[in-house]
Amino acid sequence: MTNHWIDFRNSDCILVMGSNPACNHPVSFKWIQKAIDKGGKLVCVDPRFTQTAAKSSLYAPLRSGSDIAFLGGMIKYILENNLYFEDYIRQYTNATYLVNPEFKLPGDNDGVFSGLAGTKTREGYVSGKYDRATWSFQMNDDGTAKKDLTLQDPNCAFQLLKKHFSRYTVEKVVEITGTPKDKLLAVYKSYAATGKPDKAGTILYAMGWTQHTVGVQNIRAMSIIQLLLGNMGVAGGGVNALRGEANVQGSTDHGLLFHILPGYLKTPTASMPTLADYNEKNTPKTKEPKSANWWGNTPKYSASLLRSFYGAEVPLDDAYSYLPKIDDGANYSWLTIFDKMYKGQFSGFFAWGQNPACSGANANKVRQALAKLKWMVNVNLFPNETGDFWKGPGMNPAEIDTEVFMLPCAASMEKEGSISNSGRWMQWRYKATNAPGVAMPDGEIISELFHKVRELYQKDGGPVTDPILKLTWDYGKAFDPHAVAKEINGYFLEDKEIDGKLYKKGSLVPAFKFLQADGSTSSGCWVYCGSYTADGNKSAKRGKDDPTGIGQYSNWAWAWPVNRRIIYNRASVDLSGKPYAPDKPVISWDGTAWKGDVPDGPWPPLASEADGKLPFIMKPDGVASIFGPGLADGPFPEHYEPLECPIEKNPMSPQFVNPTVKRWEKDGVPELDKRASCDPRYPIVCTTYRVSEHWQTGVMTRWTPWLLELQPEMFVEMSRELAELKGFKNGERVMVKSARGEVNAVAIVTPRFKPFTIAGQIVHEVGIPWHYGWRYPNPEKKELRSANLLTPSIGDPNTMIPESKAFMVDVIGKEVK
Amino acid sequence: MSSTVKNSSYELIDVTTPFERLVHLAFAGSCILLFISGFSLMFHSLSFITNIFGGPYVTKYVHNFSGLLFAVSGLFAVVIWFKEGAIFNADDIKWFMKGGGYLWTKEGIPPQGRFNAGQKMYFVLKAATWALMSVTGIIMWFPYFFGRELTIFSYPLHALGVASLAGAVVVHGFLGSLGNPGTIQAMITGKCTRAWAKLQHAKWLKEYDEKHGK
Amino acid sequence: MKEKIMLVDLSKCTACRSCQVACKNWNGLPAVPTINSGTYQNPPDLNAKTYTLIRFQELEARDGAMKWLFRNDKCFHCTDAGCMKACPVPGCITRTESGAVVLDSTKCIGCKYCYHACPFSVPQFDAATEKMYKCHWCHDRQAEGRIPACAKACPTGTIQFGDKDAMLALANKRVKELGGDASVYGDKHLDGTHVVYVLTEKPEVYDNLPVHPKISPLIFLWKDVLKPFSMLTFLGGLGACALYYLIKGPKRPKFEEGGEKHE
Repeated sequence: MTNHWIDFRNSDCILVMGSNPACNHPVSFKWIQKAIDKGGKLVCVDPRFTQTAAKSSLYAPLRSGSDIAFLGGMIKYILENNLYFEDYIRQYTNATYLVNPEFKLPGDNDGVFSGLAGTKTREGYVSGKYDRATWSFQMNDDGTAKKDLTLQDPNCAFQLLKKHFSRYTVEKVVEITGTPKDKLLAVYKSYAATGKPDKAGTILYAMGWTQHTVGVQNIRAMSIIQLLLGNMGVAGGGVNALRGEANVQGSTDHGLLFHILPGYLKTPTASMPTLADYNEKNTPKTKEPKSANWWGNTPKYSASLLRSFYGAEVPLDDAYSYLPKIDDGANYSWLTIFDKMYKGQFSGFFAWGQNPACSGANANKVRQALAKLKWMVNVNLFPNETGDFWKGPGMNPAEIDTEVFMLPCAASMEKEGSISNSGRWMQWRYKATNAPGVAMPDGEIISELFHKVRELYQKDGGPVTDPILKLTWDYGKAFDPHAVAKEINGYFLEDKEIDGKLYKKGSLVPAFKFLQADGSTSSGCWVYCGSYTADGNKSAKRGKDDPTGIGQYSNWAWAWPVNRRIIYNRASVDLSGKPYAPDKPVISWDGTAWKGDVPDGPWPPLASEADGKLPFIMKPDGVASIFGPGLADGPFPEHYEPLECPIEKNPMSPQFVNPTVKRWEKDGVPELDKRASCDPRYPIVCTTYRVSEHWQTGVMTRWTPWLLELQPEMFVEMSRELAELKGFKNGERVMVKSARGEVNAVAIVTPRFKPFTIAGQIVHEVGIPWHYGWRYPNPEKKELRSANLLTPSIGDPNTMIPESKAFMVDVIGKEVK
Repeated sequence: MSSTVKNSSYELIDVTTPFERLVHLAFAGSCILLFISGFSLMFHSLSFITNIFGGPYVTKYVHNFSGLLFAVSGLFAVVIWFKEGAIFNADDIKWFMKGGGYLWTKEGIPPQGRFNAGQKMYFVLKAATWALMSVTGIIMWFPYFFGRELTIFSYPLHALGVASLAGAVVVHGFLGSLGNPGTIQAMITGKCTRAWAKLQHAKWLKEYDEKHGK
Repeated sequence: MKEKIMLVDLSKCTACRSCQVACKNWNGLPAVPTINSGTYQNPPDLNAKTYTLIRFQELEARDGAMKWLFRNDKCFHCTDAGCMKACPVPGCITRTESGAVVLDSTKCIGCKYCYHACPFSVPQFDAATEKMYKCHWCHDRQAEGRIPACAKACPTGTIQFGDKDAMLALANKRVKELGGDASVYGDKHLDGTHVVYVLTEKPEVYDNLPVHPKISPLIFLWKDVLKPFSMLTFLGGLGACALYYLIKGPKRPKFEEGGEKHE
């Protein structure tokens, strides 16, 4: 989140789309309710009338997979009704930047942007890749981008935006989304009203937006809207992802994904053999005089990270050489892992605190892939579908050679440590009780494993001797979370004088501005630098005071970066540092200093000639992107249909599906990666979601009797119209089938789903939760209950996140096989 | 069978059959248990009486199962005594006009059958409340099975039965013992004295003598 | 302890079911086996092991406007409590100072009078123990100065607990804020219930919620009229017999001389 949970209460209009906070983030609803109590509006857009919709003043239905059309229409509405915050976009975004005149928009280019190389088919391009040379800005001689401050030049980003979204007329949007026209316009009107300088609108989204082949572009569309309306950096605004796991924010911060190192540094690739190459390739440069270009500090962070891994004695270049490198352009993410696993390219697998047999898209492929392993280590609280895959439905243990080890681990209340919430708050937690039996905290398990591996390396050697033996591991024989937290914060490795002050060797670094590129500092994750200092463990603070009055609570826990609660907050003030919304200021300049939140850059306001800096400090040019050339599938969002969709043509253009997605039905495992689009066998749109009572694949919650009592079984929600068509009664047991698998479910027939009219035809949609699996309860029945048995393995071209939110199914009575 | 001296006022004659005595024992016995257990549950101030049975939980069982016995034995009672107890005639009206000889006068009471008019009244009342209490009692025992409407009517109707019967049972018991010495033997030994029969049920005595050839 | 009210503001309920779980947690109640019968509501009704329940109700207006109502159902802790009126066991159902109507299941004899006497059919029977069970307003927590578990767990402020006057003032203020069909429910019924709703719809809209809850007049007839009357007739009978015996004496048969006595 750019903002945080409590900040929702400051919003004048909360748009909930692609999420259901009333149901899945119930505690957050306290803050949403406060916003409503203060006169804010709650607007809910969802294929289904959810619990959030039940509390909203405005609900609009939309077909799963049509969010860009919906949002594109809103962009058009904002632009043509002049509801945008003009000063804001002129000053703080690249709306004024002039784009390369060779650049082509999809409206003029068969539905794709200029520079696409791919195979042309009936459906448009497939397996495409963009050469982004034309997605560039016109440059001045001094290396800065050419700008038109009047926003009139037809090549400026603003006018290109207008031209691109001029195709998203109300009629076209209604045709694609199935949203009734009056509801569509009501949503646009409510939300666009936050374009006023003193009004703030916020977006709460989750997997409903990200799990699509256009997932990243969904978020981009909303980011553009937030910039047009001046909602970034302000109280009650921002782009706010509601994370689906208590510490997934922490896990991404600390680099658990293949493409990043801790602190969002990029993973080195084979074409960067030295640290210098790495820093050169990964450190952005800018000539914009007012840009802080904070990623320009990359060498400080990469050096400090290497010191954290390998200590002060190993030269930085050696340390860099020990890091594994990925092949340039290769994708090592989830879908790829299980594809390669199926093809026999993995011997072993740690399923650590996860249940891929249920959580992986196209779960049949995942389960069969597991059978190809030589060994698997299942670290979890309870037995699950992954560890016991070999005795699951359709499996013959006699034919499976995988050796499975179960390491029982501690639950969150049985260990000490921190978790980082969606609002970037690192909060320390104490241990409340001992883990049962032989269960151990993950940190201790890793620690023991590492010590054993190191011991074996010392004895027998191996392929990566130095990288293993030279690793620092100063967390104690038994894992000490405080030692790790301090390591993450970072230390001075030698006495260092900075700005006239002496920092002693071995002392904790107070903030990341003190980190050095010369190897004199260490930091396990630079964005967390400042969380554990000489003043103590900041994440354990529990101060309840809030002098700001806008719910910042800066003395409760610690937020990265540097306890800044709302990031990009320099965009909440005008050029002289006066807040646009005086009744809910985030920061304000009193003439000599900033008051309020930690300013997003300590420099004086922009109006102060020499010293002022632009607000979007993590972007090279200091401004936010209206035109965003850095993504794989386009500088503007464009509506494409999901991989599996109910209609034959994309009403918006001749390009059916996102041209840059990897098509697993060709490159994966054809018999398992089946696709069925506009297929009469699977005429119903299906989406997946959660319930309050279960969590993820239910490995913990299905084993909790009070929760299972509340939501005992897999179900499928459908409209009354569809039930009547199929002859289903409420509570009847049915089966949901896709091209890839089938699941048993109880039919919940409800008026909260209604049929859509898409491109002139009636389209039905159903929804299923993904919390269930055969392993519990009733393992002996070996029932097919996991939603992901149905979902396709196709991912967003930027993140490879699977498209679990829109695919095609049929629903049949149990008796029919 | 007679004993002592034939035709003397002391002669003991059979007035009830063993079966009648058994039915009455069951019916009256269960009725008394029902009253004791019922009152102990009806009035919080009388709750201490449940200690006789071993507490209120057991008392409810005593009440319910006594009620079953009451219902079954009552059926027999109503059947075997229907002819004598439910059919009124002119003599009964005269009996009432004379207060049964209990109140304002002792003279001129028309000779009574085995059940005098008052006893007939009691029979009718008892039969009616037996039916009422048995039915409402079963409904109150299974309130979920019978549902809200039936049950919620049963509660006051059951209490109405108590109200109707409570005084009457006391009077019946009194008149059957202290009030009319010689009566209770009829329901214990099954015999009564000729003198008693002559005073209380002269018409029946006449029929008895005729039957036994006297 | 002052008289309290639990204010349940249905406009804020999101049906997260924290209340259901917190109640089971505090009271050590087990889960009961359930199936999905076509609704999120589970268990389907209150039972001997489920003292509070969120009821789900879908409502479609004629103009197509959709509503999904969530109602936290539990004992209302009435001032004029039907259960207390009907219970035959002294000390089994009692009232605390704060207004809780506490059913001490250990004293219960399982007669089930309370079930139909309750205008809301709240008390639940357990065939295994033959006793009735219901929400006891966490009177044990209240005795320690804490609020009921459901109120403590509720994340959105739907369930609040406080002094009677303050809660009623809050309820009325909230109804004013909401406008439309919103109303306060409970304060005017049964001499005032201690669980009071802010309803967003008219009372008749809600499933299983009586519009004018009252103890059936038949219960009144039973307990307040016929019960004392039956004591009256009983004592009357006793008195009449005693009086008769004292005044008139027994009616003895005449034993004549002249008959031979057996020797």
